[in-house]
Amino acid sequence: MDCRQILKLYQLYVDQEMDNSMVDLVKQHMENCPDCQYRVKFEVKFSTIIRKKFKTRSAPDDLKERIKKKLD
Amino acid sequence: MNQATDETTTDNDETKPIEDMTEEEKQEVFGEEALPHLNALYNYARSISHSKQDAEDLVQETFMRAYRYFHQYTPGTNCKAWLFTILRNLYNTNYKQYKKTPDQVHYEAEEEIYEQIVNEDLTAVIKDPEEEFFENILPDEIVNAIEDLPEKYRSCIVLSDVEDFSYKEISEILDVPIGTVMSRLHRGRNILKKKLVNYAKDKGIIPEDEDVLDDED
Repeated sequence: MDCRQILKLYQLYVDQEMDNSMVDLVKQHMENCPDCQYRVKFEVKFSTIIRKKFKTRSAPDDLKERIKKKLD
Repeated sequence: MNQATDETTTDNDETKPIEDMTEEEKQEVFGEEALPHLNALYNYARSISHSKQDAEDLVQETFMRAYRYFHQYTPGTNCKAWLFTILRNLYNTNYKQYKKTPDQVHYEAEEEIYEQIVNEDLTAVIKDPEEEFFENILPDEIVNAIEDLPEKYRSCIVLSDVEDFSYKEISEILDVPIGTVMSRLHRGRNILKKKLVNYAKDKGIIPEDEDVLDDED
């Protein structure tokens, strides 16, 4: 696995869509390559931060009540 | 409503096909498997419709339809993805045509440029991904930046990053090929990163250009 391949494949790694055998190869490469390690770390963090900060809106209580009532 | 959810389901109910259930059993399983996804559905509906009212209507219609077709659902399988697919179909048929797609053309044209510059720019400017860049971005900025994305990118990012669906699940919910999901995620995230970097530069969270950082370091 070289940097060019990492650049092509990192998205699969970040989104946990990668085969385990491939994941090992990516990790091996990253151990010896600070640039790729940086890139992947950044992408993982970016995805985490989106999740953390976006999950703030919850449905209004009256909507929940309305739906439950309608289903009864 | 609590009566239905407070009672614990027996193992028999879990394996029983929904069409064989009594109305009461059906309500109970629905309450346990479908209703917990209400917030996630609402959050997604808000982000695609850009409207509180539309989001509420969409979620309510989704649950009504889901209950009506609940016999088509197999208990214990992925209820969340099933509900999202229903919501998406409702949105496509009843809401999408009324929504304008602002700046669509503008974005398409800029996409290529974003692709090229965003990655070098980011790596050059932000030296440590763990550090202040991310921590200094407020929830509002992230949410606004996502809200401003064209819907096709926004949907993929919310479904993947926020709701944790797999590429395959997203491709089924949106009814597009997996490759399309992947490229929309890639492009959407790049646009998002660029926006957030610009925001961070405006606010002085990160330096205007890399030279400054290198000189001072």
